[in-house]
Amino acid sequence: MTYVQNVTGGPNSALALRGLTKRFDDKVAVAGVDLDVPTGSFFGLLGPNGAGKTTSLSMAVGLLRPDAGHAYVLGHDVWSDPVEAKRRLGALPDSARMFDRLSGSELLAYTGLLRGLPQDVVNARAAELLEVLGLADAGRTLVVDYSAGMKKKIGLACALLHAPRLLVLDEPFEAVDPVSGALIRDILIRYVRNGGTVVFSSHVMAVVEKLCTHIAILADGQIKIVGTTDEVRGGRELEDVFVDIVGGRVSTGAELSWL
Amino acid sequence: MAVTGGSDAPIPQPRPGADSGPLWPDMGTAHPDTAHPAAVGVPAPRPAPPDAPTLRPHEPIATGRPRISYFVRLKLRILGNSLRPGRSHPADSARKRFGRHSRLILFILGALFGLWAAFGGFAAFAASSLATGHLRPTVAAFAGAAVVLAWVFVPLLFFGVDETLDPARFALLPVPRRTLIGGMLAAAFVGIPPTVTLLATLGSVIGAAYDGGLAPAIVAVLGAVVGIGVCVAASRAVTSAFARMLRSRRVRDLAALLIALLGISCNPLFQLVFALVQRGESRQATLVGEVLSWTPLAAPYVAYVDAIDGNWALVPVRLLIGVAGIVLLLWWWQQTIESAMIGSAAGPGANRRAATGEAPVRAFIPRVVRFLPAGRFTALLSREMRYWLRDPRRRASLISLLAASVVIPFAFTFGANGGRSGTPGLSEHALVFSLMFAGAFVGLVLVNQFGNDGTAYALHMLTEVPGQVELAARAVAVGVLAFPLLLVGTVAASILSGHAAELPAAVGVGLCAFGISVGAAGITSVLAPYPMPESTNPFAMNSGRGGAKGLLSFVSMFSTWILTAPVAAAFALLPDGLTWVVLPIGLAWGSAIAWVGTRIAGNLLQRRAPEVLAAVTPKRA
Repeated sequence: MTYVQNVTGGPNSALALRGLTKRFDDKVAVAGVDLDVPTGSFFGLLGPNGAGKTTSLSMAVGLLRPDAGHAYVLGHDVWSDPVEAKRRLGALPDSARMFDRLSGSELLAYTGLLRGLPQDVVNARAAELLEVLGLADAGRTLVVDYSAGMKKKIGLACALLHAPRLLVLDEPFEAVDPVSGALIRDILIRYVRNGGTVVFSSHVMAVVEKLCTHIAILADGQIKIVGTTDEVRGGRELEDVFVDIVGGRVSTGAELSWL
Repeated sequence: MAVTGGSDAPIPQPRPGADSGPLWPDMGTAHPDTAHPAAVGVPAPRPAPPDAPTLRPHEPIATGRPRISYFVRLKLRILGNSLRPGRSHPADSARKRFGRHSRLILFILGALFGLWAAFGGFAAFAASSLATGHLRPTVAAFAGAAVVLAWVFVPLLFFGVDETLDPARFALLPVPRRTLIGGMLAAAFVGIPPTVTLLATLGSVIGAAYDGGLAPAIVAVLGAVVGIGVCVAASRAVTSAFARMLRSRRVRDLAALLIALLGISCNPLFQLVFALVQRGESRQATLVGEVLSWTPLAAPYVAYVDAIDGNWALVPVRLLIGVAGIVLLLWWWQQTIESAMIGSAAGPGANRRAATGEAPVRAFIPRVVRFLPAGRFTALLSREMRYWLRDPRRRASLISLLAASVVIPFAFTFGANGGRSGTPGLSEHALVFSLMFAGAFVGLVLVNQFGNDGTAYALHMLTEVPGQVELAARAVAVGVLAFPLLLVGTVAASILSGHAAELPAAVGVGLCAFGISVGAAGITSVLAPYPMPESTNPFAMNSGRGGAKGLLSFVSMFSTWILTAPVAAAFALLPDGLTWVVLPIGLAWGSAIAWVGTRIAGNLLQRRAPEVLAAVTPKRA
C-alpha cells in the first residue's frame, strides 16, 4: 500500500472506541467494542448483516447514545465534547436519509452553512465537489430523484465539505455501480494520501482487501479480529478468514428442492 | 412487514387446493437448464442426498383465494403488534419499563377520549332526534351531513387517514381488485374513529323508539350502519384521490386549490347551521335540509324520520341512496388506488437539469430572506421554507393550514353574523376569537416537526446545530409562509363584516396565539416525536399513532388557548376605543411565551437529540 503515511496508533488514534455497548430491548447489538483506528489509515470494518456495524458507527459519530463506553475523535470525546469532535469528523450514515428534497448544490450549500463555513468557501468547495463527482450535470434535480450511486456521491461530498480529518462511512460502496465506486475509491485514496483517515464498513471482501491498510471483523457485537490487512489475512483469502471467524451454514443441497 | 414475525397466530396464508393459477405460470420453462446448470456457467451444486424430495417444477405455487376477512385480521394483528411492549431486560430502570408500555397507554387514553366523544355525540344525536316534529327532518339532515363532511375534511385538513394497510404493499400479491377494495374498506372500519362515529349516530335510535316504536328504531340502526359506510368510503376515496393529485407534479397545484375551495365552500353551510342554532328553523335551512336528505350525505340519517312519519315507501329509497353512494365512492377509490399501487404517478420525477449558474449558497437561499446574513439560522430557515413547498406531506398540511386560516375567520364572522340579528357577544367579537383558533393552528403544524424530517435530522446532529436556533428557524419559516395569507384573510373578513376597527386586536390575538402555539409545539415536538410512515400518501398516518397525534395536538392546543385566553378576555373587557391595545399586548405576550417555550425546548433538544432521532426513525415493527 503505497499511500500509507504516518500511521500512528495508541492514544493518538484518529478514532478510538472504548467499551461501546448498546442494547435494544433484550437484544444486545454491540457488546463492548474497543477499537483504535490509527491516524492515516484506511480502515475497513467488516461484518455480516446484523453484526452491529451500523450501530457501532452510529455511536462513534454521535448519532446513537451508547449504553456504556466512550468514543474519541482525535482525542475529543464525541459525547462530552461534541462540538470539537464533530468539527474534525465527516460522516456518511447509511441508515439516515438526507434532506433529499434539495438539489445537490442546495444540499451542499445547506451543509456548509450549518457547518459554519464562510459563504465564499462553501461556494467554491461545493462547485468543485459537484464537478469532480460528476454531479454538476444533474443541475437542479432533487436528490430524491438521484440514482443510488449519485446519492452516495452527494452524501460523500457533504461529509467532505468541511475538510474533516476523519471520515466515517457506513457502507459507502453499497448499491453503487462500478464507475461511481471507482470514483469514490479514488477520492478516498487521495484523501488518505493527504493525511486523512477513513473508517468504513462493508461486507464486500474484494473492496476491503484492495483498499484497506487495516481491517477489523465484527460479529455478534464484538470485534473478533483486528490488525493490518496482512496480519488479518495471515496469508489466506480474506473471504475464507471471514467465513471462518463469523461461522455460518453452508447449503447441503437438500433444502429448497422445490425450486 | 412485521406481521409475519415468528408467531403462530393465523396469518393469511395461501391455501393449497383452490382454483387460481400459479403465480408464475411459466416457472417451469423459465429455467430450461435446471437439469444442466453447468451449461450456463452456474457452478454445479453438491449432489442431493438420496432422501431429498424430488423436484416438481410444474406444481402450482400460489394457490388459494384471499378473503376479505384476511384484511381485517391483518389490520388487527398490526394494531396488536404496534401496542405490544418491547421485551424487557433485567437491567432496565423502572421508568424505562413503564415507558415500554407508552403506546398501549396512549392507545387506552385515545380509546377513553373516543368513548367520551361517543357519549357526547350519542347525546347530541338523541337530542336532535327528539326535536319537534317539523324541525326533525332538517336537524337530522344537517347532523348527518355534518358527520359525513367531517369524515371527508378532518382527514384532509388535520389528522390524515389511518393507512396501516398501504395498498402499495399488495401490488405484488395476486389479489383481485374487488377483494382488495372490499378488504381495505372492511379494515378501515377497524379503529377508534369509525366506532365512535357509529356509536354517536346510534343516538337517533332514542328518538325513533320514543316517537315511533320498534320499527323506526330498527330503521335508525340501519341508517347509522349505512351512514358509517358512506363516511368511511368517502374519506378513503377523497384522500386517495387527493393523494394521487398531490403526487403528480402536473396537477398538484390544482389539488391545492381544490382543497382550499372545498374548505371555503363549507362556509355557507356553516352559516346555515349557525342560523339554525340561533333562530330555530328558517326557510333556507329547511330547503337545504330537504336537498341534503336526498343525497348520500344525509339520506341514510333521515330514513328513520320517514319511518316515524309513516312514509314507509321512502325508507328503502333513502337507504338505497346511501348504498348507491357507497358503491360510487368505492368505484372512485378503485380508480385512484391503482396509481397508488403502481407507485408514483409521475414516474421518477422530472429532471430539472438546467442549472441556474448562481453560486450554490445564493441559489439555495430564497429571495425573501436574502437580506439575512448567510449563516446557520438563514440556512435552516431556507431549508424549512423549501421543504414546506416541496415535501408532499408538508405541502398537504400547509395547504390545509392555509385553507383553514382563510376559512376560520370568515366562518366565524359571517356564521355568527348570519342573521344580522346583531346579538352582542359572540357575533360582535367573532373575528377576534376566530384568530385565536387560526393563529394556534399555524403553530401547531410544528407539533411533530422532527417526525416530518425523519432520519434526515441526523445531519443537524452531525453539524451540532444549537437546539434553540433550530426551533426558532422552524417557527419563523412557518410564520413567513402562513402569515401573509392569514393576514389577507383577516383584513378581508374584518372589512367585509364591517368590523374594521377590530382589525388590530384580531391581528394581536392571532400573533399571540401563534407565538404561544410555537412555544407549546416546540416542547411537544422535542418530548414526544413520532415517526411518519414512509408512504406515497401524504395523508397517511400510522395506526395507533393517529390517536397519539390527536392527543398531542389537543394537549398543545388546549394549553395554547388557556394561555391566549387572558389576551382575548382583555379585548372583551376593554372599551371599544382602546381595543388596539391588544395588538402590542398580544404581540408581547405571544413573543414572550414563544421565547420561553423555544428556550426550554431548545435546551431539551440539546440533551435529547439522539433520543429524538431514535424516536423518528421508522421502525420495522
